[in-house]
Amino acid sequence: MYKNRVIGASGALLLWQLVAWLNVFNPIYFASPSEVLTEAVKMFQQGVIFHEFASTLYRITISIILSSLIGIPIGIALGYFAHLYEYVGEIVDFLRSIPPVVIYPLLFVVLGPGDSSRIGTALFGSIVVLVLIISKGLFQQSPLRKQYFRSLGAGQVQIFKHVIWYEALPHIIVALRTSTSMTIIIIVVTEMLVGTRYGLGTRVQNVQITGNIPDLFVTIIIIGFIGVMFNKTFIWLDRKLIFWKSN
Amino acid sequence: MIKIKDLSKSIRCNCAKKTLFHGFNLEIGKGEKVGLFSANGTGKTTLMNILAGIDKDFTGTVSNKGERIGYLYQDPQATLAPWFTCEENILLVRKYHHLDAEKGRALLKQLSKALHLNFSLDDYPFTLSGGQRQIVTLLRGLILEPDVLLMDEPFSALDKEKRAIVVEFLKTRFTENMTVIMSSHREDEVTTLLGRAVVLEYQSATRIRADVCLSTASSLQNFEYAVSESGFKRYAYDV
Repeated sequence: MYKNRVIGASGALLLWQLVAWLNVFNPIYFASPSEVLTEAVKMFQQGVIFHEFASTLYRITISIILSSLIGIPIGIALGYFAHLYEYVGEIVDFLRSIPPVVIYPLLFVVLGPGDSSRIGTALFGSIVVLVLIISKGLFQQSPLRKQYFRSLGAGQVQIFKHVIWYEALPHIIVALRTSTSMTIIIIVVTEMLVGTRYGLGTRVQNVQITGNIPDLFVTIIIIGFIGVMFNKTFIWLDRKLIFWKSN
Repeated sequence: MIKIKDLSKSIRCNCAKKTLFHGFNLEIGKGEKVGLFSANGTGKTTLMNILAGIDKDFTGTVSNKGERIGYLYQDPQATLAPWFTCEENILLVRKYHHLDAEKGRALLKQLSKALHLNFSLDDYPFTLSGGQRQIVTLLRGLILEPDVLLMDEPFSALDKEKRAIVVEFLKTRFTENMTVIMSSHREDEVTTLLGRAVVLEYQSATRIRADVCLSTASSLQNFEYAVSESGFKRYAYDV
């Protein structure tokens, strides 16, 4: 399996190099892997990219933690108390329909140009995703196990601890994976919209001025790497925490 | 004593409403060992769910208040928690009823030994076969030392050999004061485990076709006759 992955990645790199050699795209706007590698080495030697990476990673991580703290309990509550969802379901559906980035100008005015407005925008997008996926996932669970545990004498707290929480876990992981993708997009886009001292989105935006295409490619790859890193973490958590599903 | 009075219950069946019970009455005395027999779809499991308190969507009265109920649900997979080991699944019910945990562990050890388990109670339910899971739910029902033991098709996933072991085991576990209500397709178990058979049939609603004591030969003949007339198929052990 590992061997196949290496073959796949090497093939993609070769194809990329071939496209660059054959000048399929205008070389002014397209960098080859070798150019990207050279630029990456230069960027890492200069060291600024580490600050850019750390700043964006910090904003994304804080957004994921805060949205989890808010979205997971709301999602479970709405999934558990189905009648509660009847009251707020339409509102949640409406909020989901709003592209989160359009909220940014409003939060920019209210919270200022700092990280608060960026993280606030990410929270707006990711909390709705968490709430929807977790609550809908719990709706689909058969109520039988819950009812059976109640008939065995379990109280509300015990039913939550012994049944609901475990039934919600697979949906929580799926929701986290989806909302994290959303968070990365929102943080990078808001960094592009209003510049920060450090941030990968801002760096992408600055390429418009400098015209350093290999720099853009390296930055895009780093953003992709952040996404892969979070995704792998959630896949690992999925295997560790939801062992009964994978078996 | 369990008293079902004027029980009415309808279910949705392919978008149509089906009356399952209408003015249904049944009384079961303390310590009685009763078998419910009928063809599929006559409401045995629904009746069990109502008695266990899982199904509360009915009219009429079901009095079993204050009784500690152990329930062996028909489908063990649906009610066992796959995230807990078998032992945790079994012992949790004692915790819910605030019963002595140490005594529970000792009782579980004793019950497991008598059943000659071919798996470990430290295993998770998803690693077990259907029959093994059925044994786990049996242990969960008994660990509660219940006043009422409800058993819905308790032997359906067991092979012939294991079924014989379980039937013999249950004979020693059914105490005089324990009320047992068992639904089954396999009437062969009746004569060895139960003292009373209630044969149900469906005619616009479920009703009692025969209610016989199984202690005498003539009663057994009545039961056999009621079974053959009620239209439910007799199953042999080897099916």
